Amino acid sequence: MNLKTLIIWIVSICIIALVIILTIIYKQNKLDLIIFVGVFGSIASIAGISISYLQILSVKEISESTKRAIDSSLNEMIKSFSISDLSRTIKLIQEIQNFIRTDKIESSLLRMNDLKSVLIQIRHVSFLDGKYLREDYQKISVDLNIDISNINLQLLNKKTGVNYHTICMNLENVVTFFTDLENKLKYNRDE
Amino acid sequence: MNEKIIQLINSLILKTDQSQIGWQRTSRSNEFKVNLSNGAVSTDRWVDNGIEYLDFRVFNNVGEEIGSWQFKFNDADFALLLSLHSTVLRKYLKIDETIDGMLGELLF
Repeated sequence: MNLKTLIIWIVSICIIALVIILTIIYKQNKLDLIIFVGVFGSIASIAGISISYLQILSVKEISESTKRAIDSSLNEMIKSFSISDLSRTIKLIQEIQNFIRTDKIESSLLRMNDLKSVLIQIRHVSFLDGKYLREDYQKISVDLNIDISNINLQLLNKKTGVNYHTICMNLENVVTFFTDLENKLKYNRDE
Repeated sequence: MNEKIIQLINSLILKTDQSQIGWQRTSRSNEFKVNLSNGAVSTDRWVDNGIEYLDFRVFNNVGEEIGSWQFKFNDADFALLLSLHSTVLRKYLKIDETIDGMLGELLF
């Protein structure tokens, strides 16, 4: 039953009650202006209080549904931001691979450290919990840390013989990881 | 190195020797790593300015490095790490299986 129907019912009941009470008083020959105004006023007050209470309930319900709608929109917004972040990360990895292919190793190292930051960041995004396998995350994270260290030591002339082909393959595994995550967020909205 | 790390290295040598854990080569040809349920470890061997080095690194279950030990030739724990690295290399390159296969092919 909606609010409008309820108000019509309350007003109808009050009118019927008013008519019954006034009829009874009239039959007892006691009806005068003061009694009429008193009875009418009392019944009108009861009707008014009931209608106000129902309106308060209705306002409360509207505010709760508005809050739910805002929360839902906010969640969608956060999700869409994270999807764009994931797309940007895939572009970042492609940029690193491009730096490696063109022998700009220092630049690739800087970008690999950015990638490491993104990897650390996604661990702390609560709605990404359960969206990826911990084993996959551990593997790409270990590989990235080892590769960063190896490139760093090669640039410092402490180690030689870094295999950049393997680094590109490891980065390809990171692309797969992020692409999978991006698709899960885009197409599995219910999860 | 503390007792726990020495124990970890000895366990890795044993399990590698028994082929119970599989190592993978990293972006350096002499460096190997293995991912375990609770973390990962790596070991590398290289020469810098004519001195031979070995290292052993431990990563936690989210891939962050939590410890790193590096020794040069003649250091106290160099022999233990060399034993690990040699065992890993032997298993990774399937040296025993290859020699056994060749012997089997030649002798019988």
